[in-house]
Amino acid sequence: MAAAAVLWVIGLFARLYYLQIIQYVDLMARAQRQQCRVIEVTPKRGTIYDRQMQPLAISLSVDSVYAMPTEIPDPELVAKSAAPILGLDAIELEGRLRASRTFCWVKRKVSDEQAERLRALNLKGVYFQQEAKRFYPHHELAAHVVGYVGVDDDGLAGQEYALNEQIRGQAGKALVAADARRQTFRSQGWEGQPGKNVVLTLDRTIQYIVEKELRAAVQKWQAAGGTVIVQNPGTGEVLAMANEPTFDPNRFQESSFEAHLNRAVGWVYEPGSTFKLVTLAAALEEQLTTPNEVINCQHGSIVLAGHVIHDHEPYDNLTVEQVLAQSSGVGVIKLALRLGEERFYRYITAFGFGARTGIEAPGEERGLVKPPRRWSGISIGEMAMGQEVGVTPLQIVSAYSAIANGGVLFQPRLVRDVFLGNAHDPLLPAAGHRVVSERTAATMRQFLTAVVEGGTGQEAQLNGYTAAGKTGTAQKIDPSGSYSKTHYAASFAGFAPVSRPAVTILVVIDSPVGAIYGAEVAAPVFRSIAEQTLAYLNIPHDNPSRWPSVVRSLPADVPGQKLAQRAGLLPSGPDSAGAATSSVRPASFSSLELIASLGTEPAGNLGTMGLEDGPSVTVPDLTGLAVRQVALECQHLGLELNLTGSGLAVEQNPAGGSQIPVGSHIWVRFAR
Amino acid sequence: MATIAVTLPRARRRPRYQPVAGRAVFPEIYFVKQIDNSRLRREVDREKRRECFSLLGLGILVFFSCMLFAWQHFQCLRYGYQIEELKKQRTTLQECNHRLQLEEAALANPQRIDTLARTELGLASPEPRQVIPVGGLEPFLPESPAELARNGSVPGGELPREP
Repeated sequence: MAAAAVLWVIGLFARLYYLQIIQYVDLMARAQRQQCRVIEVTPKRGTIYDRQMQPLAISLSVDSVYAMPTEIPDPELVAKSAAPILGLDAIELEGRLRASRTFCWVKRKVSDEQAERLRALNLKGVYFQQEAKRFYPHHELAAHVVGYVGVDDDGLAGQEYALNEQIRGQAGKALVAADARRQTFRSQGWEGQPGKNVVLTLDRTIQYIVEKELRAAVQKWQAAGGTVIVQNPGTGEVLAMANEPTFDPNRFQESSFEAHLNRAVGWVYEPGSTFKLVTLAAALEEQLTTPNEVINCQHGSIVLAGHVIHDHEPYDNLTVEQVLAQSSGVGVIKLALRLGEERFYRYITAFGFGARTGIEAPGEERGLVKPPRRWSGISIGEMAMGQEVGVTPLQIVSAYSAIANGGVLFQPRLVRDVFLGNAHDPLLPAAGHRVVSERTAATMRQFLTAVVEGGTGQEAQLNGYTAAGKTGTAQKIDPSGSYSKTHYAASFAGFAPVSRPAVTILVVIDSPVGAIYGAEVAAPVFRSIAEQTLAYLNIPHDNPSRWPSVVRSLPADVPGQKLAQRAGLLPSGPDSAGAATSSVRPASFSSLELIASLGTEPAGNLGTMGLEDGPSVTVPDLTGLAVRQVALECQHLGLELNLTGSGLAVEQNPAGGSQIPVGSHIWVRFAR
Repeated sequence: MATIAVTLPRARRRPRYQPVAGRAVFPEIYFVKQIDNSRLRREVDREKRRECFSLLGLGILVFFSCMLFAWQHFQCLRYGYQIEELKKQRTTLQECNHRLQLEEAALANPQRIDTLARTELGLASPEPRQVIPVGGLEPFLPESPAELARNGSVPGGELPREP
């Protein structure tokens, strides 16, 4: 017995020695082959945000379905079961299953619902693998700027393409050990680096406003397309960039190639009269003219190198300001002739035409600006009016921004930040160069304001704000190479408010039907976008002179209506709840008129006029009122409101009943 | 040395009363001798005992070392499972976070809110006069154009003059 036990122990140790020492290398290798596998860790793409840190593109893990055909006993059955769920053709799928031997994709990046339904079938030889899928929660919003990715997660357009290296991240490799139940119990290796997040200069709300208005204009005029750019003139940052037609990047394959074109940077067109800005600015800068100089416009025609160029109206004598306001071609041609070819060309290039702006958008065109040696005799005249020159919409908006900000041409920018965690990629500060002096820029702003106030751009007048800009109507080139008689590019470029420009906006409508002029087609779009954008940006009104009659239709129980009635803002009486027309001006613009109107109210109710120290008002007791009511009340009394907190007013300074001059500041604290 | 009576194996015993050829037959007589060795003490072999205990201790040490190694190995495996499970949980939570971000972004889509405001709540876009810029908020562009143009950060101040 003992001998047997001893023999057993000896045998055991011998076996152990054999397995653990002699066969160790082979067995370990076999175990590792079975347990361990090297997997590539695909990094998830970074998120793309707008300037308010709202995601515009985000990646999620979804299931991809693949098959191991050798494990599938009946490919026909599998194909017939899976195809309807995945939206595939059963015959085509069966063919693929039969054609491959070891591996084939069934469908990549399926929806959660499809994956669940397919899992429930428990098909043999059909497996799931997690892959990252890109989602664009706002669909068409900023589609051309954001871009899209292909099935392999590579950026194919927009910022997805331009910043692909940063957004994509770096793939890693991991050695994963799993047990017989395929449960991982060890992993080691470099897991790669996730993609960096990108913050764009776009603002989601402004972008929405712009796209909505552009879409409406393109539909209204049955245009072939259009583009709008909104830029911050002080930094060159693009706040919105919209194009029509557009597409949904979630389903980019379903849209046409034309819809993918980012016209704002990739469309070269003749700008027409919006280009006259360059001619006039150059002439002013070179002191070849003065704002009050009268130019004989020769009854609207001029002969240049044997060609007769006609104005749209037969103007005679116009000041330089009127030349721009009335968009006289003859006037600007005369100024261009004073400049001469070389000098004019130098200013054209200084304003950034003929070269890429360097914006972080793929597919940017440089435009078409011929050097003077290739100009014909008529070229200088044509170019002075914005013909025979090809520009991109971005170049035009940048040139107008230069005038708006005092003469500095900034490089337009779309990317505000690239970061991962707390590490931010260094971005170059706003770069720009001076193209005209402050004085010239100020004069040009005055000219452009005149265009809107009394020239061709009156449709661009804003409610409550001053605006400056220029209309443009350019004939398009036919495929035959000649100017089209039917296809025009109607545009309006401008900025607002004039005193402190907050936004520069360019609207270009391609081939409108029924109207061709920028004044008629593009200027109203500018107005609509500018009014909404300036209000959104909390820009104070600066134009009391233009406050037209508006139809009011406030419901009877609107908060603040009572206050408005007290201040004469709304008609009182039994009909006040219905729609009525009234001419209203904000108190802050014309305090005297306001006080005069308040004088009709019972004394001591809203305010009294001081006889010695100018107009003054009695501060009302604002306690218990909401922010909106307090704001309305202060506006009607001509008081500047500084508020803190939210909810209902609990504290104010000066106290209710105090007499203070109109325009004084009142501080109100709100709490819940 | 104590002596113990031992009974011989039965097979080797000669049968009682079996005569041996040529010999006279005598009966065998057994006497029981009482042996008392209770007063005897075994001599302690200290060397052997030390060896024995050392061997035993070594064995125990080896055993516990093996057990410790095995325990560590299995703990390592167990922690490996736990770490992988936690990694999976972290990934799931990150994924969930991304899904919620996506959902939030989709819900905050300006177009959706615009449509809801107009159709379900009956709201309309405010007229310009209805928008009151409230003091205390920073305007979007604090600098005037002249200030911007004078901005020292703007590189290049030269005008496009003749070379």
